[in-house]
Amino acid sequence: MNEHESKRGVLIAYALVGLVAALAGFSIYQAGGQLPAGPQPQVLSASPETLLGARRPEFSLPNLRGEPISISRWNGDVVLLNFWATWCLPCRKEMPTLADLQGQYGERGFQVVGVAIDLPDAVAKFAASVGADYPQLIGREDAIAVADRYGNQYGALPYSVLMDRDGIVRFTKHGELSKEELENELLKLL
Amino acid sequence: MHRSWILLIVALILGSLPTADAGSRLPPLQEAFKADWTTESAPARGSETATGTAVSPLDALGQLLGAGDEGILPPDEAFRFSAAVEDASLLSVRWLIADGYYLYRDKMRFTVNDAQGASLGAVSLPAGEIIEDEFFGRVEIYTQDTNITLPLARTDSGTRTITLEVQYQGCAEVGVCYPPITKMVSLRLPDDATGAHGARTRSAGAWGSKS
Repeated sequence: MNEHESKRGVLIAYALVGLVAALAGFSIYQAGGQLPAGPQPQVLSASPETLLGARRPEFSLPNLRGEPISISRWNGDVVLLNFWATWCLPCRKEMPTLADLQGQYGERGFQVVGVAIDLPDAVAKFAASVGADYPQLIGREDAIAVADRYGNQYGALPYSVLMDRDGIVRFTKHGELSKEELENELLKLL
Repeated sequence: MHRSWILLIVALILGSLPTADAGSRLPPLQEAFKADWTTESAPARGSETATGTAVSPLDALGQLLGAGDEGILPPDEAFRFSAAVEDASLLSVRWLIADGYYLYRDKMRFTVNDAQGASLGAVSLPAGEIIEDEFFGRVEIYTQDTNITLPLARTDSGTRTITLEVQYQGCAEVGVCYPPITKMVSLRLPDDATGAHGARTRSAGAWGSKS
């Protein structure tokens, strides 16, 4: 092979390696591609580890009246997103605690937002029965997709994500939150 | 030079393309969550043969990297589901449930679809372990190796392919619960010439050895 041929070969090789990398990137993108119904697909799936310290994924889900509500509605608040369902016993157990802390710290800018993977009627009935009057967003696959983007890839409930006033994720927890644990995390951010 | 370079590059490109196989490997998580939150029967949302034991490479990678949800198993590993044809008028389903996980007995739902000439008979669920719950009171759960037989009423005798829809829901003892899981299993019934209680031949390889 002469020198010219060799240079051309190297150039072609570089170009094609670039193409391969792009294709690989595309397939990885597809692999994570559980695109949620919401309009902001910038975070496709996250683990709690990568989420901590990162800005929260944006999303909208319907409230109990079916109106779409964006998480940005609570910009400037310390927000606890609590993924739950009425068919999930540990979720039911922790809700009175969340309601208590909402009552205690709401005036200082703390806002609990429930994301229920459930039916609106069941959610409204149970929330009222335990005095949990904080906002509830509702969904099925779309709500599971939001949970995935917040680091809950298997949809296991309950799952809670605490964000500071700038929307930065500061704490995540699978399973029931105790009052002491949540209060401790919350007071760092208020 | 050209031939070797081109062969190498073509191989690299082919290896990196998102193939149909990759596509079928990736969605199991979504499959697992094809859930129905009501007690009404869900519309059929695709079909899959129930292996339940396959772990997608991404799941395995996620666990290796510690990116899993704080040690919580993917639902298809927590509850390894399989289904089999016992004979022309008897199906069986099995869950191998990981230590520290359980399924709710009263959340089990079984439906047979696409089955002219075959319908599901009365299902007798085995007794479960009793746990006390402050909201639900006494709740029966299944753990470990759980087998349920499903009798079929046949009005014909030929071979037939049916779709078994199984819904179940469970939790981990650490205090998290999974959304309801729906599996659609395509099963081939043998000829019913020997009658409902004829030779019981397990379909080969459907669940491997069973003690």
